Amino acid sequence: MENTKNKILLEVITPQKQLVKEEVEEVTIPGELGYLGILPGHRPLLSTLGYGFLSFKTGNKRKVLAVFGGYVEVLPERVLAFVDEGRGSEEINIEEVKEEKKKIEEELEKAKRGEFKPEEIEKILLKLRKVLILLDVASKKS
Amino acid sequence: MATLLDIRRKIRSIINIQQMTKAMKTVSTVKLKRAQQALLDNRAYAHRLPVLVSSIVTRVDRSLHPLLEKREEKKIELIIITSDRGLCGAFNSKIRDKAIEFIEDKREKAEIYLTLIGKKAITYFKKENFKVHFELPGIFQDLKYEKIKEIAQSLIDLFLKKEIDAIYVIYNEFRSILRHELTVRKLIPFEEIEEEKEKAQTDYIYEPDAKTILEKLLPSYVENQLYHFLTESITSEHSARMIAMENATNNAQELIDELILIRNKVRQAMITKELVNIMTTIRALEGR
Repeated sequence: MENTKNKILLEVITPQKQLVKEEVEEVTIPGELGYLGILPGHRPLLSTLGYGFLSFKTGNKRKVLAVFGGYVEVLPERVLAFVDEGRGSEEINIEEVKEEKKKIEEELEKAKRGEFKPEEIEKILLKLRKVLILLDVASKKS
Repeated sequence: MATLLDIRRKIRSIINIQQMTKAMKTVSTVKLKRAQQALLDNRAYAHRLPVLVSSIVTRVDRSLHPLLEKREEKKIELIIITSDRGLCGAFNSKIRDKAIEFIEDKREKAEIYLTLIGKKAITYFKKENFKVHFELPGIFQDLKYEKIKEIAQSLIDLFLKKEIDAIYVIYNEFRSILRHELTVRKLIPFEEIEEEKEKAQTDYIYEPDAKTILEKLLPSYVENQLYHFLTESITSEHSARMIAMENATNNAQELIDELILIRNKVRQAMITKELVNIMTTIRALEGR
């Protein structure tokens, strides 16, 4: 009992698959309004997710996922994240992401010359944020 | 009596059919494998999202979001999910019967509108003077989330405009390769869970707030569930077709075996007849 008290069950699921199901000591979640640190015994909480890093600690190990939008339900003994899209660091192909980044930067150049509408620029910026997060997560792979 | 040539021709054509059913079975097996994996990967999300939604619905005031409104079900939208192509046994006819049963059951108290997914549903229900809101033929060839999002949004709009009061779905749910189950689900309005009511005294902390969360969550819930039902259906369809083609292949084999037996008998009879002929001729010549 003592043992389970210090742990919280973390589950991260996307419509495509389950990414994580693990007992962890601590979770950090990218809430839409800012990062949330969750420890076992947290009060029930419901939040939308933004774009960012979801990280968790078990023992001395810390793992990081890139997540993009969704919802999280926190209960004292469980954290359940419904993620629209998410990827673990080992699933990210750096070369591919860099390629993508290049393309987005080219698009941004075009945008500077006024070739896109404001909504489209917003979409491009969102894509850029995504790519930057992916690169960041991938670089934490070690 | 059929001549040897006729029988041989028949055997050849059945062998051709058998080759086709065999090929179709192989194709279905491959498609089934892929669909089944995608479905299993999707289920964790699709099965738990409703739990989250109803546990919120149990806690919040229904006036918080127009999609939570509960009205008397006077106008019902029924989504019927069938397949685009046939040759899959009783897959579609069972759905059709269930839909008719549903309509007969609700007809007295409510008006029924239909959303038809799959060519089989369209060809059947269009003949029958039903009021049809949407038709989606050929959606399974390339099942895209974006497309489902569109249709989900149109249905939500109808609900918000009070043109419909409830949405039900009839589809085949995949259980195993040998079994899929006819399922009727209510998509809207959202139901509370009784067991949650006791726990509901401890409310969540909402970030940013319950209304904003619901505004995002409810429409995406409808999309996600609809998409999930379609993946359940298509997986069942592939398994149904695989089994149907397996049976057809076996039946063809039985026919072939039977015909080969007849062919051999006919051939034997011909040989015997010829021998008898020769023998009688010899006897006749000897006797002279």
